[in-house]
Amino acid sequence: MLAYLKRFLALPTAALGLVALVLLALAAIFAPQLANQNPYDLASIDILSSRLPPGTASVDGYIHWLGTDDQGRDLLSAVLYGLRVSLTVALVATSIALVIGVVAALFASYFGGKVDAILMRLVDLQLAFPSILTALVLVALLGTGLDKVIIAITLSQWAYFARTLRSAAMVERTKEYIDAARTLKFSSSRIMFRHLLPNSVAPLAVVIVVEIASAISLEATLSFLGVGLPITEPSLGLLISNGYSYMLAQQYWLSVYPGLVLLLLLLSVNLIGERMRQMNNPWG
Amino acid sequence: MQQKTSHSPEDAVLSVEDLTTEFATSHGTLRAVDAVSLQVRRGEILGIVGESGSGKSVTGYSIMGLIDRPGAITGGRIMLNGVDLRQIGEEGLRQVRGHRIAMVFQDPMSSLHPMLTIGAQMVDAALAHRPIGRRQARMEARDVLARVGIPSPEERMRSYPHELSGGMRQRVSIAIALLNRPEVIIADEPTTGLDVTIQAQILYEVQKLVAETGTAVIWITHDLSIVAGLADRAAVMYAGRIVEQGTIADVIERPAHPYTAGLLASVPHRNRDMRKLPQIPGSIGNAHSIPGCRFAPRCGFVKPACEARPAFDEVAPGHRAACIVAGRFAQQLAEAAHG
Amino acid sequence: MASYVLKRILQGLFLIWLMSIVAFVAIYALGNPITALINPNSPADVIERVTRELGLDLPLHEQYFRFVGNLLRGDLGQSYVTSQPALGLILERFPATLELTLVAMTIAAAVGLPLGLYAGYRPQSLVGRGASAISMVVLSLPSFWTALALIIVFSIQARVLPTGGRGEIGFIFGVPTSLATLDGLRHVLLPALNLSAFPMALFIRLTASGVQETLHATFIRFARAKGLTVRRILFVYVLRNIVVPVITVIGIVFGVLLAFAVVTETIFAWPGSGRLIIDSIRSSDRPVIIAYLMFTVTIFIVINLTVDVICALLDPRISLQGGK
Repeated sequence: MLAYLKRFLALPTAALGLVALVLLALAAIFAPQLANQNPYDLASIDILSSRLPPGTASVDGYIHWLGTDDQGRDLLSAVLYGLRVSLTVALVATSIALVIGVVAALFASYFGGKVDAILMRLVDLQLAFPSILTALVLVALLGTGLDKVIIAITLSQWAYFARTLRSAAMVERTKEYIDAARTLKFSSSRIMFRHLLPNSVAPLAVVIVVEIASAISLEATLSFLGVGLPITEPSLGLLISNGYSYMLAQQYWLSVYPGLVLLLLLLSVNLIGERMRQMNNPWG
Repeated sequence: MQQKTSHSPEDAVLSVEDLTTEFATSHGTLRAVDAVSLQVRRGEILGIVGESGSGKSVTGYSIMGLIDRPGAITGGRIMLNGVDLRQIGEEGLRQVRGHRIAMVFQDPMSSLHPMLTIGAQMVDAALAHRPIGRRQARMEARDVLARVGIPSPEERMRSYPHELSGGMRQRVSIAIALLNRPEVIIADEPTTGLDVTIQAQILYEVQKLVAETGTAVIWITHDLSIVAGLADRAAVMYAGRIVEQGTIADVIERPAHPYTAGLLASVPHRNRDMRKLPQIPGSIGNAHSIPGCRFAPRCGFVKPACEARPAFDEVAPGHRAACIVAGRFAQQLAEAAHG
Repeated sequence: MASYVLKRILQGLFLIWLMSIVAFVAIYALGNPITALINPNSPADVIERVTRELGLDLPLHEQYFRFVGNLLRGDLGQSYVTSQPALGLILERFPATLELTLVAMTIAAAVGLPLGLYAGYRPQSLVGRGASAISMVVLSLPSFWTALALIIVFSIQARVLPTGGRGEIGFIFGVPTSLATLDGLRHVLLPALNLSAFPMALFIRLTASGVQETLHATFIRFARAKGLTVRRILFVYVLRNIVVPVITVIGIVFGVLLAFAVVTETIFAWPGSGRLIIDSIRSSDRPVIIAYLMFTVTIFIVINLTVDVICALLDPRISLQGGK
């Protein structure tokens, strides 16, 4: 594990990505402690102090380092909470998608035959469509809101996990230890979870990281388009969208700061994923 | 076919002197070819024999200038008719490749481009070197295909590689090598994986072509019996070094190096019980890192003096071996080899 | 050839049939369409009359047959919002989307393919490293982000290009298009550039890795042993080998772009079918959403079929008699 980390950090961009991600995650976790204001608490928001430029002093005496948004929220606080929302949605959705994908793939690869054929056709069908389209259609049918967005992201992602794990498991199941486990009359679920899964982990790890990034991006896009999270719990995408209309009035900070945080978040996750992919590649 | 002539570098078409090729690996530098010297004359077939990992293929690629990073030729000279190929630059090398020295690869299945016709791949090879028209190139290609024994060559030129059998594909590779009438052909185990009848046909045709055209051939193989039937002279390689070199008669009948003797002993032979073929114990493994004689760990004649690198001395005129016991145990070695 | 194409068409029809079930369930099983059509507070007899008129009192399977029957006649229902035929709305908007997508694909291919080729040939060079880094960044970013960046730089700061709209439309060979007028070109440039970012990055990546992989192939080494020039090896032997995967990717990406256009069209106020679908989602206009879905599926299938046939024609190893 330590050797893996050391090899991982050998690439400066990967190390940078990891450091950035850890800092962002800490900022998200400790957002309530770090923020000057609770942006969800309508009582503490004053619409009169909306769209103040960065550096303005607030009525409560602290400084709006990133200015305020169109609702009069302290933008730094809103960004910290937005980061929290974006990360939570991405992690929850990816986790559920992972579980669904893993179960589907293990079923398919263990039972083979018809189960395999049907499940994998379903995966193919799903993968034929870009996930943004799947998510949009699902949101269209289900309606908007936190739970709906999570469902939409989950359903547009599970197929990636199923596909990856299944192809890894297909290689593994031909190996002798699976046969040995069968001869010893282990129950099928035990064989699947104790043997197939641990040996298919390396390629799956890369997809998990990549899909976390794509979940963040998907949620941001849905929220930006106004079909994602509600306005009362602004994620980064929604903050960018809210500020967008004021860009023509040269009030950039409204969109640019949440935009930069989103950029940093996505880049750091992808840099990590890229390095992990590279390390799985025997020629890397 | 077998002739005993001295082979001074002067009358050799190709003369390789102290060629050294190294690869940078994560565990340090690997010297895959270590100060290899060999010569081949017009109309002569030189067999290079060795097991996999002996550096025989890398020697072939080095002569062609086809060593890519992380590998590089780090020493020696490759003299083609008196000109050092290491000094003529990439464009100079390109003009030599396929024109004056051609190479046939080990794997007939993957050396032809899968999505171009045989004809296109042959015409390309001709046009890369000679200012002839496309029509002329096609005619020449057709003639060469016929010469290597491909039936209805006109039709075959319109085929794609996957439409031909392995044997046919290897004939095409050989035809491409012959196309520009090179002075030297390097054939890297071209008959591996083909069935024995086709192998024999190809060997027969190569011998015939050499006799007709006077092309010098370096035939790289792990199979001593092929070399015995085909070549005029043989060089035996082990772990990047040539350990013995001489005429076929010298090497086969009077092996001077214990490794050669071991190789000969493991060749199936009509006078021997096939079930009791002796194998040389051990493997090349990481013999490349041994400073002295690299065969010492597997050798039955090993002496304390083997810890120093043995000189590559003549044991008889034109017959050299890199072994300190070479001259003295000739009788035992011959017995070991031929039972 | 014919049997191969026929087989693929049948597979496509099967997929469309699957989607029709999804669509039916979405409209009729999830929520009562009546509530969307008329005011739920209307008198009971009005609701009952409309229900009977629309056949919503029939058993579900009969409703499905009617639905499929309408589908076959190209009737995908009417918009809840405008009462216009849903398919008509989409077809009316589709040319604008197609134009945007085609321009974006052209930009992406013209820049991405040569850059990828070079990056694959010289991965350690400045251009090679730069191209890989940029493609990695672009692939990380959602397209609304790049759209805003483009607007800030070109429209708000430099003031050289408009922030949205389609601009003046002219005619080329009788086809209405923005490409015919200078104003139209100015309007199409930013959205097309934004839409091209993703496929461009993808092309760079795929071509680069394809070239690198091919350069290690034995047949390339053999081609070098023949004494071919680097130029000829790169432009004939390497390119010929990656042309099939590149065309496959172009096909897939073309479909993806038609969907991706949703975001770009919304931001740049481009009057295409993507913007229509977002408006429909916001107003819960289900028939239009479903029509869009069916339409997109059909286009995906047509694109995939075309790509497969082209690839089969280009790759001598694929026999059209029975697949690979």
